[in-house]
Amino acid sequence: MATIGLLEVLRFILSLVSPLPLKDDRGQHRSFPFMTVGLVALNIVAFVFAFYALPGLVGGEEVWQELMIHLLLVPTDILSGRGLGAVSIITAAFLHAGWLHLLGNMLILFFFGRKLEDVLGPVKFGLFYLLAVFVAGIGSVVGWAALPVTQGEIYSVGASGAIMGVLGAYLFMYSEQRIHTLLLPLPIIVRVPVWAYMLYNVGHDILGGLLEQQAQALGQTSTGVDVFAHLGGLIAGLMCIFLFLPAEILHYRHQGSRAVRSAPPESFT
Amino acid sequence: MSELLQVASLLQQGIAAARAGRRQEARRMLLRVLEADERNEVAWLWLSGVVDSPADQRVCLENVLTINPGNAHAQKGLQVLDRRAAANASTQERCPHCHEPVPQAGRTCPHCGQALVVVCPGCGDYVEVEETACPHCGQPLGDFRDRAQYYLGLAEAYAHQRRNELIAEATARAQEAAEDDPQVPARAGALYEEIGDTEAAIVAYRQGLKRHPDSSLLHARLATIYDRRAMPGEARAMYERAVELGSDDPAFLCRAARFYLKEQGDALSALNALVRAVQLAPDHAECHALLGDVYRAQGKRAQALQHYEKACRLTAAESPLGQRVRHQFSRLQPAAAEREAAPAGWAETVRHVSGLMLSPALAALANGGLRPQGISLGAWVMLLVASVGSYLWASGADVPRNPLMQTLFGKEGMQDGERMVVRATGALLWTASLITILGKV
Repeated sequence: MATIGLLEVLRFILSLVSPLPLKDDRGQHRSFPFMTVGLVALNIVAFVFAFYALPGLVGGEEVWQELMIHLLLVPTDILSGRGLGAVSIITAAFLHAGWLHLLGNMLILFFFGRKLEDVLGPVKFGLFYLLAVFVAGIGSVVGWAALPVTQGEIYSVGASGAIMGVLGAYLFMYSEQRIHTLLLPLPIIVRVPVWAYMLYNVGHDILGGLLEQQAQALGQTSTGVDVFAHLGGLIAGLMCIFLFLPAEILHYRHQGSRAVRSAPPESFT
Repeated sequence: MSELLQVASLLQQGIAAARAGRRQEARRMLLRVLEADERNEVAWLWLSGVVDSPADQRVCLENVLTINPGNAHAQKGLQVLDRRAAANASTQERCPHCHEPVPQAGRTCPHCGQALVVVCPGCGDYVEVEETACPHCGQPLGDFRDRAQYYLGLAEAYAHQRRNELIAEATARAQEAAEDDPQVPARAGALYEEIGDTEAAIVAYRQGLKRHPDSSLLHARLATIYDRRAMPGEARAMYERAVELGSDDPAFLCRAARFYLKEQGDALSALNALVRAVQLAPDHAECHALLGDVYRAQGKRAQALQHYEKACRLTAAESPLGQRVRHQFSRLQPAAAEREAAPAGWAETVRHVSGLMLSPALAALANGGLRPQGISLGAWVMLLVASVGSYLWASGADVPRNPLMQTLFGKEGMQDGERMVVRATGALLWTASLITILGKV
């Protein structure tokens, strides 16, 4: 109980502010971020269509709800081979629970996504995003299915997992950068290292996961956030961006680290 | 015996003709005598009386004294000749070229045909050919003993002073004076080109070619004129001959290369000319620029880039040539750098293919309930198709010179068009396989 209490306090503290990234210290972008803008537009269009147009098209709320369940990510359906399978992982990644959910995700996607697209190009960024969607989805399935109470009988929706993948890739590429962050709801902009920003997000997710585990052990559920998708996406970003980077960037990073290691220690000069 | 009588008879006839004043007949008879008997003292003596020039007289009398040193008539005759010569030497001019006496008012020596006076290019007065500068206006004339160079210098001075009507004679005398030097007609032709008389230049070059058919310089000059006059057939013949004869002028070889490329589309001939030009002048910027053009036309980007880069180093950025090569260099550089820097090994290939393969693989795994044994046979087949598509896409986009592609397309790798086709095929296969997997095959 004490543990749960401490975790709750920590999560409360972390929830007091929502850091919104505004810009970093890198230079101008090389080209227009077609894929990033396209993904943002697709998410918005999908949300609007699913929640405003689809109910009227399918002829009623009940039918719409039945249809939407198939489009969401349900871990037990994936494990048992029911439903749309991998398609539901993709469709769930383009649906959101509400406007705030959508807006928050799209702001972060637009900020970090265009910087990654600068490096990878639109096609590779799109392929990386798709991979992050799959890894986040599978992470969500594995995580939620492992919990005792729910056994995965929940629905997961949103682009958060893939967006965490984008964040993880950005951390891999630009770990030395500082991000100008607006601490909502406070009108304060702080310049924080990117690793600190990521630490906040990861810490928030881990706390959420731990609390969910504890709550489910007590026969309850606690969080509305798919923390396992977040962590899965983050792992995808950190580990899989390596597979998409141009060779010269990898070479430069390797040379740079070698140069640092080969510099003579000051005590010998 | 009869021969002696014949000679004696001829001698008598010759002497009789000489006495009668029939000089030509006498000369003929006496020469026949001397043909039979060259040591006939009497014939030589009488011949000295019927020849025209004092020089011939002297020869005859000296021959008499050679045969008979005591012949008083011959001695007396030579004394008369010496007196006359001494008297003439004080009053008569001599040709500076052949040293023969010449009339005072003559412009050309009657013996050797050389000019005795020239027109001063500066003031237009007649000046003795021996003068190195005009005594009236001080215009430098040069040393007539330089012959061809002297007359060419005069011709150039006439052109400079716009006395074009005098150029022809000067250039003609120059070409006569140096029949074995092809530079002379080349300079003469160049002079005509300078004054705008292209027809005369062509004539001068052609006349030079008659004497020097193996002169690459004269062929080169004619090639340039024909090229300028848009006579491609004649120009090509001249260019080819000049290059074949081993022209050593890099600028001309560049002109030839440009002609081959522009008028004929003949990259091979252009390349031959340019390779020679670069051997002669390794730092000739235009040669490197043209070599870049030729290699670019042949699709050899790396070599084109190398020569454009060299031309960039040799030219100023503001010059027209400098701007042109820098523009071409910047157009080629990204593609060339990409191709040159593009990794070629299997490790890099696997890296790129893995990134592409993960999505279809995870989709198949998700459809199989996160169990590999749950993946259907159709999904495995589609994963195989996806792997082929991923490899083709990676080969077209990221690792164009991986070992298998080098085996198929050679060390140079794929051309741009081929890369597009390979990439498009890979994309199609990958997309089709992913869609099929998502459709739960």
